[in-house]
Amino acid sequence: MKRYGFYIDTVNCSGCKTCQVACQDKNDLEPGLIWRKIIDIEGGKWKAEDGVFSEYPFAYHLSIACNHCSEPLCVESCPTQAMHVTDIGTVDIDKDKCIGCGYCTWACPYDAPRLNHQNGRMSKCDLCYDKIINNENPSCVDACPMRALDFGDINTLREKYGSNRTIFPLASPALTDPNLVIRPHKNSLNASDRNSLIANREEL
Amino acid sequence: MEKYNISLVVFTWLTQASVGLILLRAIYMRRSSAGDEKIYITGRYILLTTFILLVTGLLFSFSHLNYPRHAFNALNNISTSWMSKEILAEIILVLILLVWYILIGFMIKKIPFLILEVLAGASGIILIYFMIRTYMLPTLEELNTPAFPLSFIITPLLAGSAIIYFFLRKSEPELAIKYKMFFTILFLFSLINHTLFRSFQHDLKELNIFTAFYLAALITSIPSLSSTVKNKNAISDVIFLNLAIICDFLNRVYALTYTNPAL
Repeated sequence: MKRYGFYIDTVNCSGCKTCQVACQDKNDLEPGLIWRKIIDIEGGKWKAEDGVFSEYPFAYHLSIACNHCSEPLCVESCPTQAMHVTDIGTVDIDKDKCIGCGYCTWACPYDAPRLNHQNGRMSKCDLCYDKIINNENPSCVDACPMRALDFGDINTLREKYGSNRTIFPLASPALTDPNLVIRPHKNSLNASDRNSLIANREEL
Repeated sequence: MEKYNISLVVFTWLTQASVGLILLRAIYMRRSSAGDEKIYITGRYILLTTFILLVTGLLFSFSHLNYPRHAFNALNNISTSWMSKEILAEIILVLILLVWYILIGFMIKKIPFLILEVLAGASGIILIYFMIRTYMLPTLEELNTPAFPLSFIITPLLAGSAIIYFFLRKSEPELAIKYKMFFTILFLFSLINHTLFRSFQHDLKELNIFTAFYLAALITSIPSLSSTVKNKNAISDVIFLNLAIICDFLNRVYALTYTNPAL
């Protein structure tokens, strides 16, 4: 089955959240419900050089939504089978089956499924299903002013951008085989739990 | 983002308490020397308590659903979802207990209760296993420690022995002391296990209340132990048992609410 995925360029991403707003606008999401989140990572360290302390701070942004994984734990875990793989290989929620238990959120390493308080059921990025079946890009990709997001067949994306799928603070891709490609920010290579933190956790 | 719900904590705790009661009731029915009629009546009360706890737990589990109108769909994915398996096992256990209690109510003594006892015990153990698997998702790192499944094994026995102790305290004090001793040992295990569990967590905030309750339970365990040594039941036992139960419940609250949420 063909699999679609996202390319995320953390070098060019400015953390402006235009992609998030475009997603909320297109899907008419209530305030507070976000399907695409922007994680601000900050960190750094001090280095003693010849008796002088120098500072090495860094910051980068990561725009992340559902990665429509090839081995989606949310689909496996959902007790109702509301979470399912669609005919085009994306992961979506059948609202007629969902009970709003939130178990998919526990299973997802990216925290992608979110409760829609208006209808009491889980919701998440559907990769703009209605747009991609008409050969259009998802709204977030088209909205990005920095061209830091791309979308397409995951094999094509990997040929074009490489196959890196890891960056701090994302979980190991071995868990769910996510369909994403990440261009890592140079400072992300040194980022870890010890010297970095998520600066906007309350927004996520 | 809050990932867990207090009603889910209550559900797991009450369900496990009822499974513990089923298992420890079986021991009571064989070890008591109070006479057939008395054992029968006490056994029936314990069974009723078990059923009430289980059904209350089930009602709490419903209250965490945001769209309970579709609740019947929860059994759709028994092949791969541990939560579906857990719900199925819970329903089976409720039905077994219901049939059992009705049969006892009609005084149908010819029915082989041993079969129902074994069925309920086995279903209860399977239910605990499914519960452990439900929470030990590979993505919930903080629950993937040996201490977490151990707490799901300690709680049934701890809560079960405490409830049976309260049933027997006045009527069969000697047997009650044995349940109290078992409870005290389990409480110490629970304390060690909780300390271990906390040592796996990165975020040690919000823990003072837990420490305070554990300290209070430990202090009250001293006069309780003293009465146990003297082969007596004292009022300090009641305080100790209640505090220890609160500790175990808070331990569960901590495990399922205050652990670091995934990203």
